[in-house]
Amino acid sequence: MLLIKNTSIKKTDLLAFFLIFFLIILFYSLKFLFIPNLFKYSEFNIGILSFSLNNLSSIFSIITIFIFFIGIFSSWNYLIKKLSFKFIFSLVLFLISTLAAFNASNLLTFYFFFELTSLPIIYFLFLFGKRQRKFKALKLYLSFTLLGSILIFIALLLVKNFFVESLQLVITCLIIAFFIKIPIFPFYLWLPEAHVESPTIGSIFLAGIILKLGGFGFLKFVFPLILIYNLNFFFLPILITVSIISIIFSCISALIVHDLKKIIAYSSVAHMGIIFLNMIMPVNSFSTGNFIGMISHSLTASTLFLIAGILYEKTGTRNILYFTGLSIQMPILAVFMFSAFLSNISFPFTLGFISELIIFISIGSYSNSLLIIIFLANLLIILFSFKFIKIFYFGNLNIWSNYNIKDISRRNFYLLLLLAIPQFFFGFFPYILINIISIF
Amino acid sequence: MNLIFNYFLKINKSNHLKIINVLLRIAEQFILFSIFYVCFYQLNLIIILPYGFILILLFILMLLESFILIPIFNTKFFLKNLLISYTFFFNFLIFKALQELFLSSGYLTIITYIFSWIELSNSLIIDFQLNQNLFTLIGVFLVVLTSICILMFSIEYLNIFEILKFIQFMIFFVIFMLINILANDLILTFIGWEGIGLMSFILINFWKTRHEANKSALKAFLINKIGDFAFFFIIIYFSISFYTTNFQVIPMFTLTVSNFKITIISLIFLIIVLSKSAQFFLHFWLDDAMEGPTSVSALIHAATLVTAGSFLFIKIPILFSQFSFMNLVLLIGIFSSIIGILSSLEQDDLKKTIAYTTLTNIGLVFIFFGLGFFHLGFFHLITHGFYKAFTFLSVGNFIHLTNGEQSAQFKGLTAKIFSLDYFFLVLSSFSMIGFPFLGAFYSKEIIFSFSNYTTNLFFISLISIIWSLGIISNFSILSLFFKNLPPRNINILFSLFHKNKIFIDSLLFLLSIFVIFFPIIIYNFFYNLEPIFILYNTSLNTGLIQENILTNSFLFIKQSEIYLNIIQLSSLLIVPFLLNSKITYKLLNNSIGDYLILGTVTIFGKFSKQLIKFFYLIFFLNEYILIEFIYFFFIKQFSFSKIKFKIINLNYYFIIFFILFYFILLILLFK
Repeated sequence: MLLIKNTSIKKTDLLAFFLIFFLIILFYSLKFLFIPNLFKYSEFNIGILSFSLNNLSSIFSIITIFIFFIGIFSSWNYLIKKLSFKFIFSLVLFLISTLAAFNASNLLTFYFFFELTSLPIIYFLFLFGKRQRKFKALKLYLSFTLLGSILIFIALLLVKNFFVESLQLVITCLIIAFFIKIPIFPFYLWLPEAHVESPTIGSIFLAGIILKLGGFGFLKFVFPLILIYNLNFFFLPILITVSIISIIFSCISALIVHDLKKIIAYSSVAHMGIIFLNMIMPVNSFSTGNFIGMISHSLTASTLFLIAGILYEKTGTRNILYFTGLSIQMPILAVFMFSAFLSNISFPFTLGFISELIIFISIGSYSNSLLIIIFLANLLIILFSFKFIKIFYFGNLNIWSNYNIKDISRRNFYLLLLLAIPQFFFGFFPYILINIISIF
Repeated sequence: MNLIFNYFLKINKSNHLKIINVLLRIAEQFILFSIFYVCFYQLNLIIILPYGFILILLFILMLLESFILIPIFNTKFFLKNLLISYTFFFNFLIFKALQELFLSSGYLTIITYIFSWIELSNSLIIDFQLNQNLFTLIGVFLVVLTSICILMFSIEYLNIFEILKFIQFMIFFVIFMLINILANDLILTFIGWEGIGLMSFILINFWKTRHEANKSALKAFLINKIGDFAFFFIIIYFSISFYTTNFQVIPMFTLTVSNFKITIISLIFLIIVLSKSAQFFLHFWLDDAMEGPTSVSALIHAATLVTAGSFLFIKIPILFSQFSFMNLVLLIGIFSSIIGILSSLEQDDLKKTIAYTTLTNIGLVFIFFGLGFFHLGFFHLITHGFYKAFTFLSVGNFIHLTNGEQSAQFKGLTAKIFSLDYFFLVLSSFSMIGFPFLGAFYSKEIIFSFSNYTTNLFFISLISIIWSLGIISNFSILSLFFKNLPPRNINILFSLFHKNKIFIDSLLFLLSIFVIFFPIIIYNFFYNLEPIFILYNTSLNTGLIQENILTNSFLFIKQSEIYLNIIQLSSLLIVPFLLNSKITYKLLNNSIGDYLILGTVTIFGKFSKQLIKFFYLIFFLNEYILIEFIYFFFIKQFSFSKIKFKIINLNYYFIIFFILFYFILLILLFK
């Protein structure tokens, strides 16, 4: 790796390197899913760090590889033009750290790699120049992540000298730390700023992979503790209220805001809030809804961010009021955007519908009043996504719009197609996905 | 693959492509027809097949074919051929299914299992099942036939650049509608429900650069979303409390639930139905939805989408077990029908007036439901679907001929110039009114013959007001074609030389046959029905029970008493003629009589050539369908043992006729 210089590297070498990397990890993760074995569990240690490969981790690692692949090819032109050691190193570091975090069996190993992901994210933030707004985003991001890291550190120290009285404190520390990454009210403030300021590759990684780290951490480390020590009476009311507030706040702010990337960021906050509500439900029989929801969210959010990036490249703005009559100028892009919109409003025959069906049934089986509140929140999601699609998709061309814009390139077309196919395939045949997940 | 594409692009489009096209169509028909022939006659499959599933598959095949082949054969000719070749198989399948149902005579339900969709351990199991019933199969018949007619109409109505996209959207819509009707599960109906909502959103927004179209599409979709949310809520409620959403199982569980919960469930179902079928207090989107092309408003907002709600009521009749709920449905029906008529009287826009008459007609269906007569309400729903599609297409034809002039203020003179088209319009409006022996007469007459025995005078006076106002509104539209100014655009004369005007006329003729003959035939299905799940609404003292209807309405009545009813009805028809007595001689005094002379000359010049083509086309379209009509009459007359023999004999004739006529037409049309 260190021998590589800027001049000696070629396009094909880099591609081959990444592809081999993908294939190795895909092979290992698919092995866990499709081999019919009861003991699907293997552990290995590297020093203090210990890893365990199981069904849950393999699903998440497949998602990360898929999103990583799309993220790289979304900024392929830039990668080739300005090849630097830093960029490749940060990409590799990001991939290794996320995969290691998803395959961690310890809280300590998870903590180590969970914090390591913030380095490449900061690099991606400053990929295209430095300006004042980016430093503000960096400040917000760093302050929240450092808070999270301190809290996890405190939790680790408390676990070392374990008392039953301090259990609630440990769990609260961990919950707040994962709230920052999921993200839940009031810790989601860094997310829209970071999405707006980072380039497409950064925002795809953030929405597709980093948000899932929080969900994974909560499922793996916090939820079993709550179940085992029977602390639902203490945590459940707070968590439910906070998640409902985050859903409604984010929906309302998405209705107000005109920045394209901010709207997508707020919509992802709302969707992750709904998934989080299903995570904390004491009835465990609907846990497949979490995974399906996270898969569908990572697909839709990354498509929408990719589209936003393409539009920003071509027009130079992200203000949605400038984009009218997009289906006249770019019909192919409009089709993909409409498909992403369908999964965003959970239209039947998409993955979003199936996840929402399972999640709503699980919430309804817990309490009916909560179901009604969630229905109202869902109405808000539909409202802002309709506002978004109406301005974009329909209407006549704007006076200020550039008439010479061409439709999307072939590379972007194939990327969007790759993202759209699993949405609709698993929407038609969800039992394939459910059977894989329900083994776990 | 690219080489083939390039080859097709390079060669001369006019001649070579047409030949390839025709050859493709013939091959396709040969293959499909041989498959059907082997299945039905050679293998002697007496067991009822999953016709609905085969129909959906055929539509999907048509969609795929359009996606693949349309970029190559970018012609209207290709599209016409594609549609015509498929109609035969649709009709074949539907008539076959109806025959078998007719022979079984009664409430036979066939449930076909396709695959299991979602299986969560011990908590939720959803299967894809289709329910074939008397009601659902007749509904499928309505949807497929009207949609095919409307698709053919729209090929002439729209541009070559618009039609390619349009047909694919329409086929999507029809697939979703078929799923919605045939579903045996609440979730599967919900998929169809949401699908038709989305397709209507796209199709209203078809001319997407118009701001008004965007606004009205959003309005329609958001009001429909209220119903969708209620539907989703109901699905989750059923799946939590009963673990299934199957229509066969739900009535068993609902018997265990308390009365209070059943009222709440039925009210939520009412909201669902009202939003989709545009009834009172959720009807605001219907007149705005006329922003789309005419063929869209004919298909979606008259014949198919609006009926989806009442199909849901038929599938869950257990809701109609309380008099209070039935009275509420009845009230909503009366309200919406009166509102529809009153608002149609003030409209100038031709399409909007007809949009409001759907309110009245679906309101009548709701009145039937409220009184407890499901089968009669359903009967009116089907007749309404056919004659409403007919009216919309005949009005759309006029709009097309006058270069998109929608207001009735500028429709003067057109009745004289386009006399055949005006004849169709008059026929359609007569069938909408319920003129004796036309369209709505058979279904509407039942409710208006109550005056012979009711004790509730208020109710009958309300219904007679609805009847008479409906007649006035229709005739006021018709008279405008004589009274008012001619179209503002003088290009009307150019559209006289429109090449394929005959194609549209033949389609209208086909639909008019449906309007006239179909109610009589479909009535035979309902003749022997005994009330199994029906609870009559006796709380209002309307005197409506099965026995009274059997003795008093036209379809059940003795020969001597027929004339009484007809006299009663025709007395109401005098009112509009009194209003418009000065129709004819106003025309002659106008200074624009020159246009009239020009128009008549051009008509007679072209008439002799066009007449021949016209009758060929009509024969071509109706040939198969007419034979199938004859089947029914034969079946009724012969005993059960002879039927099989008869069918096989007729079939050989049919195949020979079919192939011969297809070749003759192809030669005639494209020489």
